Amino acid sequence: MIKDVPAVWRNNPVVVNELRSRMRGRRTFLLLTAHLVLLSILVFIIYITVYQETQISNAYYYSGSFQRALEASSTLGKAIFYGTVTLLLFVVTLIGPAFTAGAIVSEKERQTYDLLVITALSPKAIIGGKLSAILVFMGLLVLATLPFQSMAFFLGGVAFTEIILSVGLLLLTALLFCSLGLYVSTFARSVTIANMINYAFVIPMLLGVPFMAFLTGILSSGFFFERFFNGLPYLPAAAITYGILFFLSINPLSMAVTSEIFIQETGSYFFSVEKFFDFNIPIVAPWLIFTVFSLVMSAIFIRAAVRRVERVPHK
Amino acid sequence: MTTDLIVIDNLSKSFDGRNAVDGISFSIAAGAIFGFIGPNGAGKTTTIRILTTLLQPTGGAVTVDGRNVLIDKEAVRRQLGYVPDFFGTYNDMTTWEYLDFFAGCYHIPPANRPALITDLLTLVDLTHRRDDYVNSLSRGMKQRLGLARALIHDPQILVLDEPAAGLDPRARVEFRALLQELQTMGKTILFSSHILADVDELCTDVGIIEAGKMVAVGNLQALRAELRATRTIYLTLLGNQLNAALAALSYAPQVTDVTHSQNAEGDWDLQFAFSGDKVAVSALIARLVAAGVPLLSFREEAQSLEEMFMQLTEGIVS
Ligand SMILES: Nc1ncnc2c1ncn2[C@@H]1O[C@H](COP(=O)(O)OP(=O)(O)O)[C@@H](O)[C@H]1O
Ligand SMILES: [Mg+2]
Repeated sequence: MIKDVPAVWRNNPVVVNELRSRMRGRRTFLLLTAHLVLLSILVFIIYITVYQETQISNAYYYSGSFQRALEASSTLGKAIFYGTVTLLLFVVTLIGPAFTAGAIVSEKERQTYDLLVITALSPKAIIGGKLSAILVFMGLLVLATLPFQSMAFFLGGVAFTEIILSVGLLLLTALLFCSLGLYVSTFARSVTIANMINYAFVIPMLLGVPFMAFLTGILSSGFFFERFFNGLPYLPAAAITYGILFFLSINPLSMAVTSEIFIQETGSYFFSVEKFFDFNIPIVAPWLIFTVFSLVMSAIFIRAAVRRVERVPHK
Repeated sequence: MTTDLIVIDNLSKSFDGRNAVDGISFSIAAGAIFGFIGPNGAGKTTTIRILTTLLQPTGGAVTVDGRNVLIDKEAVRRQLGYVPDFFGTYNDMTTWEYLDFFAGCYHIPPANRPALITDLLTLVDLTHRRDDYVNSLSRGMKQRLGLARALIHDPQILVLDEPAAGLDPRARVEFRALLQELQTMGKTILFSSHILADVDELCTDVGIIEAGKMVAVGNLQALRAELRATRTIYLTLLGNQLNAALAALSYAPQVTDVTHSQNAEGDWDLQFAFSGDKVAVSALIARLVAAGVPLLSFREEAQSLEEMFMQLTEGIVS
């Protein structure tokens, strides 16, 4: 699959066609503008809120030492970073599927599909081309926020590695959701149905985050722990730990939160040994699990989509 | 010896248990213009979609130049140019971009495209619309653009589904001329139609399909001759020799329904049905001459395709 990547890009008319029609219309321009306006508003609100808080603390610690000012600045930097990444995660998970839902089924609806698949273009090139064009656009949405990210970096409180990591993970999230959307688009009966199927995955996932956080909260609470897990042997303890870690890691939102907690608490970007249920259990950073998971799932979705296009239909 | 480029062997396709195509077989020789004729719903589009590798058959096989359409899909696709009955185009795309896009889909190097596209636009007479959006073209122009698109990879075979439907009479005539030009360029052409008039003077071969079954298939002339088993013959006799003629005709058992009338010049016009073959026709003429009947004219009416079609599909109700 990896070795097909150059072939997909070299002179692929689907990529050119998709990008041209996307860039020629006004829709893309409006969407990008809306995206940036939304981000600016968010950053502005964060700035006002955090600034006011720091003013209050400044008034409280009247002396207003340099140290305080530095802390206030890094608090603001962190807040802007978290704010933009969270917004981007929502944008990517909500817009990605909407952009890919029509990729194949809209060609069928417009009666252009048959003519496309009987050309010499391989199904890999068709799927790869569609996906690439959408990912280029998603990349644009993510990269458009870099000015805000660098602002956060210069305010302090956010490491350069964190910013790079967040951009990479956002692109991976885009890949995962766009691959899913593309696969759905190969079998759905209409664009509307494709959208419905996509959001049937995305919305429970987005809503599932608070639920999983709640679940984790209960499981780690002393009350629940003593009731059920007191004296739990090592293997079940490890299994439960890994299970929860996995579930928190495959959802981009909870992955982002837990990865940040992981990095802050352990001081490592990758690996740590932490105490769970009375045992020291080695764990990896959630973002690593997500990286592997999203790459594997994307490969599965892309492969399935290619298979669908390869097949001669019965209807 | 002619080679059969397309061979359809006992092909069938059913949708939800209903047979759309029911065990049809025919073949198309290289260089032929094959008219695939049948009323709406007869199974033409279904057959064409199987031939063009876009639909799975339920049974039977289709081969193109010896290659099975299901097994050697890619090779078959490269040999076929297909113009569907209905096809969409992309929004925001000009005529030129449309052809350039498909040239790319067939891996034609960018450097070769301008000359190729210019030639194709000239062939289908769309040069003046090269920078117009495809959506703004008329049905006839879109059809011609579709043909240009189907020719972009220089396929050996052209498959056109109802190409003449929705065209005005003038466009129809031009389209036929275009198909004939393509035949002289060496293409083998299969096109479908529910209008018989499309076949006349254009096709070398016809296949007539009705309710999923082939009713007749073969060379157009041979088919005509076969069907001319009962022909109508018109005679004009000089002067007043009607009785001699009627006597001579009465010996021939193939003659029925004789009617006669005297025309304005006082000569007799005779009309009768004759059920013999061409040998019998010439024997009949010889007998009339031997009997001293002064023949002024002898004419047999060629059966129109419309009649032929009605005769072939008689009693089959879809
Ligand atoms: N996708 C399909 N699903 C169900 N029935 C179909 C489908 N396509 C065609 N048919 C049926 O098959 C028969 C033949 O259709 P078609 O091949 O389109 O005829 P034609 O092109 O000769 O007008 C019709 O009865 C039609 O309703
Ligand atoms: Mg049809």
